[in-house]
Amino acid sequence: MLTTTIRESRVCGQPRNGASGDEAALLTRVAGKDNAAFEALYRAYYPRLRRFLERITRKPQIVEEILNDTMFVVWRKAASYNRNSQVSTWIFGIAFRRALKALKRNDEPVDFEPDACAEPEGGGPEVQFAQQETRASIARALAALSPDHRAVIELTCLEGYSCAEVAAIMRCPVNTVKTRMFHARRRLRMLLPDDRGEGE
Amino acid sequence: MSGQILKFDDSAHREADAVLPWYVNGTLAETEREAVERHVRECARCRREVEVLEQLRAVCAADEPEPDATPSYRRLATRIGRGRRWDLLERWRRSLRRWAEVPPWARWAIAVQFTFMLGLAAWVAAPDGDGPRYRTLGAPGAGSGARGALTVVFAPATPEVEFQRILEAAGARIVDGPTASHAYVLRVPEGRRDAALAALRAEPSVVLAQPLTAQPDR
Repeated sequence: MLTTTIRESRVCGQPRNGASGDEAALLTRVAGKDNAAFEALYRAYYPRLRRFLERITRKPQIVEEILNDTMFVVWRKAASYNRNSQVSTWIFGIAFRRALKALKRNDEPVDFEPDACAEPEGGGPEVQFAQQETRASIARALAALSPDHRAVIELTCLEGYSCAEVAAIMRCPVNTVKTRMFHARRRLRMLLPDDRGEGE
Repeated sequence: MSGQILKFDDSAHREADAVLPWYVNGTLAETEREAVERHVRECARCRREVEVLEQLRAVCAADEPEPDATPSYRRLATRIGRGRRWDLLERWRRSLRRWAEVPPWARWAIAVQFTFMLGLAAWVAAPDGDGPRYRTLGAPGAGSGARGALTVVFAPATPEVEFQRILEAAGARIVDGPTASHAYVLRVPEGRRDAALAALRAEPSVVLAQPLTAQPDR
């Protein structure tokens, strides 16, 4: 099944070049208003976009609205996809801009609970506790970054995009991505406990 | 020798450090990856940074429960099925809902601000019943003549006391000058211009006395 193929080809933090051909074919069918193709694309992107948007916006209550707005644009504008970039770069670019727009509209601070979606982990209670602590402190540090800085970290570390792809998604020069990454890492170093991020 | 120069100075470190996140996620081009790898082997700071980035990546990429896309997809499918007009209506409803979520004090503040802006715009756009508030001195009707202004040239050897006497006798005071041609602009009270002009012209020390009037448009 096509959905499964796309999902399996995507490993967190790994490049996804194998899926690009399938996705481009799928998008061509979406441009022809093929509902089944759109559903397959939606289901393939739903977990990735949801996680990306949750981390960028830190506002779970608006994530689905942004996600569906993004996919609605994909449905309407599929014919305008020009194959100059990967399908995922195109879709994430739409999602990123929609997220920034939504953040501008909803600029009220929202409390973030890093452990809210933590899963039970393997190992003894001490190991679980240590893993949760690590995850929580990194999540807290990520939450303290600006949306732009969070986006470069998420797109690079979670989605596994190259620097040029991140630049295409964020519609900025490659050097701007490097500068944002530099500042994001510096801020993370300051925010993380010394045993993880030591200062230079 | 391969011809490639390995630099271990600060600039080489900065170059490698800037792309470490993409070295860790495996998206660097082959030549760049090899260069960074060589640097990382030699640089303890970069090795430590790679560890931090790998840990960050592991946390970012940690398995999370796969969310169920079905309810969300159904909502979007319904939205698509209802067409573009319904979507515009839905966006309008969303905007109204967002407006309803704004605290009452903020809604009042926005309403007052909006009313003030409307009032200001209306005031600026309204025609001025008193005519223009700004006129140049040369404009018809605003001419210095109508306001009792005169231009006077005194004889070159006129002493200061004589100046004062002539001005007091004409009821005039100097408001400008001397100009390049040694002329002074005098102001006299409204309605006394002609009398002042006659008094000035009667003085032997006054070479020229003329009313300042606007030139009509040609």
